[in-house]
Amino acid sequence: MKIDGKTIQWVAELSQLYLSAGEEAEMKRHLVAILDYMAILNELDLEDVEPTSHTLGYSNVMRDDIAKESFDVGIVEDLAPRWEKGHIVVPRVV
Amino acid sequence: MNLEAVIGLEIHVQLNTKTKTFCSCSTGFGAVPNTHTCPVCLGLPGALPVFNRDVLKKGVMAGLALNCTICSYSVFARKNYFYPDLPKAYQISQFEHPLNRAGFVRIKDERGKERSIGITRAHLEEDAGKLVHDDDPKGPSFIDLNRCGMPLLEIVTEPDLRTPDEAYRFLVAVKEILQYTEVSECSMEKGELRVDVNVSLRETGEDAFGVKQEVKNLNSFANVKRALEYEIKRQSRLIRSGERLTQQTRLFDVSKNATVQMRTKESAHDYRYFPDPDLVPIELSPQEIDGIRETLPELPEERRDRIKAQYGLTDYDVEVLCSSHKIARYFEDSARGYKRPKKIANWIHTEVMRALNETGKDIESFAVTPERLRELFEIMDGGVISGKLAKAVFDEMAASGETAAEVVERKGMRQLSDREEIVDVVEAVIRDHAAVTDEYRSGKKKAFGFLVGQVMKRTGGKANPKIVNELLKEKLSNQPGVEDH
Ligand SMILES: [Zn+2]
Repeated sequence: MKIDGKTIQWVAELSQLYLSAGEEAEMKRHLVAILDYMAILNELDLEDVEPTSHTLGYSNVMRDDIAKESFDVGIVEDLAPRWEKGHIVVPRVV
Repeated sequence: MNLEAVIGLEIHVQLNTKTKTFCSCSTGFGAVPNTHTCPVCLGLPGALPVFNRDVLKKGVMAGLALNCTICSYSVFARKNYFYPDLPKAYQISQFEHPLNRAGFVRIKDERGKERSIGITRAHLEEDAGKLVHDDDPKGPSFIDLNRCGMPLLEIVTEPDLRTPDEAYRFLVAVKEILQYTEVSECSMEKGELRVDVNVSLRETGEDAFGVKQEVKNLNSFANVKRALEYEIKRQSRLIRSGERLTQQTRLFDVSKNATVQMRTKESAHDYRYFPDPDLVPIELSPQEIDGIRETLPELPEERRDRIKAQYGLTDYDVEVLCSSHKIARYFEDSARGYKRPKKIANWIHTEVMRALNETGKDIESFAVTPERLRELFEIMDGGVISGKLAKAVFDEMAASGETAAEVVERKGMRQLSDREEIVDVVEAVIRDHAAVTDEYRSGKKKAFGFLVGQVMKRTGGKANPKIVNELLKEKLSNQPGVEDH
């Protein structure tokens, strides 16, 4: 996969990141290095290998449907970047 | 150019478990904002999700009720996107390995013809938080994360629907199935059932699909129908005038009764699904699936057929009674052990429905319980009150919460069945209406009804109509001429 300026801008947009021209160039360098490494792995012949979605080897880890205590709302308030009227406040999204 | 619509739906249903999908926070409705939160549903670093076994059970039940194949192996995946209602910046959903595949729901179309609507998949996922925007368009957005992590089942249909009316019927059928199965209350007001539609037009008979438009923000089935009607008109106008459509996401604007293009910065999506490494796969054996199948209650179609046969009802009766599983249950509880269920059925779709409409009550909180309704019928059959009076008694029962016997006693509504008392009234009526009586005797049979009416009037409607009829006939035929008394 070829990484160009457009790809970087697209990924930045999806991540809601605003990158300077310098940062864009640096990101590009990093991503190219990562993908070059992946290209080496891609040379393996995996025709007959099932895709791995889990490596732990077990399944069905579940809990019962019983409610436990949630956070005290004060903790949520402390975690919020801005807090008003019991809500986390963020810049308008629509 | 003959155009036909191709419609597909995505339905999000909230499963009614006590706790969220991956944490032990309550799913209770209407809590103080942000109080049903914990490290898991706030996406705090290091917090690990653990799957709720009841979400799985209800997901399988819904899948079975929707005639799906339950997958023996399913996997949770991360759907990545950035939005303030999603603290983890990914939604846990199912992608490559959904829980349920390839189902169908049968509906009847406008002309009563049976249609089978395919369900592509019905997978599990968690809900996102709720955003409220400031009244001031320049103001901020507020987030309530109580909804974050609530269990959802997303039902995706095949593009099998052809008209807005079919889409409406399908939604009604799906909602009914989910309510019967008791996996969700499906309250649209509480946002427990949300619908997105996609619709495209193509020349009738063609196989290829046109350019589809997605419509979101549909908060009632009526709006789904309206939005589809609007979209079909809009698209057909564009196509006929030779314009090219581009794929769009639109919103339904209730005030304009129209769909409008969504203005959003979020048009860019590239979810990069991958298996969630924090959650292990779900494996279900055929025995486990059968075990859940055994807990399935009777579904709407089966119940309709059975009720019709068991109680000797008409299609219309069954349609009304089974419009909700609660009404159907009410009917069956009322009719239990009663010999003329058809009478109860009629009463439910006239009197009970009217009373519910008037009081705005739910059948479950209705003062006239099934047992009390049956009691009313037994009192009526026993000749204590007439059918006409029964309506008044019923209204009293609904208003006061008394039993039929209590109302009859308190209001002195007991039917007059004492022949001696009635005979006096009958004779008085004959005496006072000599002209009419003569008309009757000279062959004008219609006059009889008038005389019955007079007797009923004088007894305040309490006289047993059967006895009144008998006595009137007897007196009118036995006594030619005016009788001395
Ligand atoms: Zn939680």
